[in-house]
Amino acid sequence: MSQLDPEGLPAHVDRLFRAAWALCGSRVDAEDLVQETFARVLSGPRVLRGRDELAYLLAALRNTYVSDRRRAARRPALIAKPIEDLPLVTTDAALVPEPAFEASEVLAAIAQLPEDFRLALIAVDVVGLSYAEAARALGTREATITTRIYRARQQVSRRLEPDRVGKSDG
Amino acid sequence: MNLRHRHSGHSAEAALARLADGSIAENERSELERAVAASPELAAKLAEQRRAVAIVAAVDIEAPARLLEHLRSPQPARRPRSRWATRRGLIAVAAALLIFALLGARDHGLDVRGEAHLALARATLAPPRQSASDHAVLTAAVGGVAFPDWRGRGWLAIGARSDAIGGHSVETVFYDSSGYGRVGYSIVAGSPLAIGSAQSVRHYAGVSYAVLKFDGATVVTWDRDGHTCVLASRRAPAAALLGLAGWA
Repeated sequence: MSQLDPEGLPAHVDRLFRAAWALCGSRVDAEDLVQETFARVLSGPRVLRGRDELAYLLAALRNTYVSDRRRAARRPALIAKPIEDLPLVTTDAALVPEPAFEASEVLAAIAQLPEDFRLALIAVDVVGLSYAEAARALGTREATITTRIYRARQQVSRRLEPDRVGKSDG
Repeated sequence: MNLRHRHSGHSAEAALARLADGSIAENERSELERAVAASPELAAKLAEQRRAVAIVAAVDIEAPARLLEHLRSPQPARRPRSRWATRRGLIAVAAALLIFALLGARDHGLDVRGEAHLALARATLAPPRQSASDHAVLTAAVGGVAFPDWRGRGWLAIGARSDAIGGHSVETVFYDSSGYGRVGYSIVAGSPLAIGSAQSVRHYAGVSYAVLKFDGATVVTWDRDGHTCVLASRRAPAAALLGLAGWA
């Protein structure tokens, strides 16, 4: 069994930040989530148990997110409104045959997915894990992950259709 | 058309998802591509999958530099203490290092920019309620300076947090409006903080309001009864914040 190498963490920061933003729906919350996740994983030796570093970090990110939500849910009259952020222009229109979307639009669309679909899409399409790695990181079967990814992509694609007005999901 | 893969047992959805991102097994690819070519319905579903893959792949946001700085800050050597004490201690050290990195390790006292980071951070507490004795304010206050109730102006209190920087306790209430999103309003206990350079200074009813930029956000700061007050927002313009500050 290998241990998590703290020296290797900076290489994963960008992907984890995108994953956190897609998870939380907020750039500010994403930054807090990543910081908290790194603080947890750096607080002691971490055994990877056959997972690669990125899969391990995604699982840690998800666990931190869930823990934070549970803590927040125990407080009375807690916030229910989403926090809005400025859009960041990052898409390269020359690479994407579709109309270029603001990154925040895409991440907001992902953040609106049901949690199971959201996590599956984040694991594979945002973080870049294989289906098998994603299944291990999220504690489910590979076939389940694949189906969730299909449905998540379907919903994201439909939410971001330029001429979506008047259409319904089906 | 109900396509099933005898070899993998995957459903049609799973097969299309894998074909869209190229992760499908080679021995399944040809059969599936023939099925897609023969079915407009499957072709449309595959196009939808590929579109989503392309859109998400185009998101190329980089993490803020301070996250990398947080990672690269030297970790304290572990001492033979309990596992829980070590974990709490490391988290506290990491948080302190981050805050001091943002403040630039100033040696002439705290700067309001260090506090502005808290006004832009995440709420960790439920919002304070409206005061029963004075409906113009909330139940939260610092040194007798109460947070205003701005619901009549379209800003609803949605959360709060409590922090401490350099011995100053800082209370923050977050408000949200449909037009400008979220604004954080912090009141710092103790003597007023240094402002440093400001974009502009406005004067109204005997109070000076400094406007400055911090981490892409607009910040307005002023003193109320000897306490530093900070309004910060990533979306609301300075004019909106000055309007709120005048009512604080």
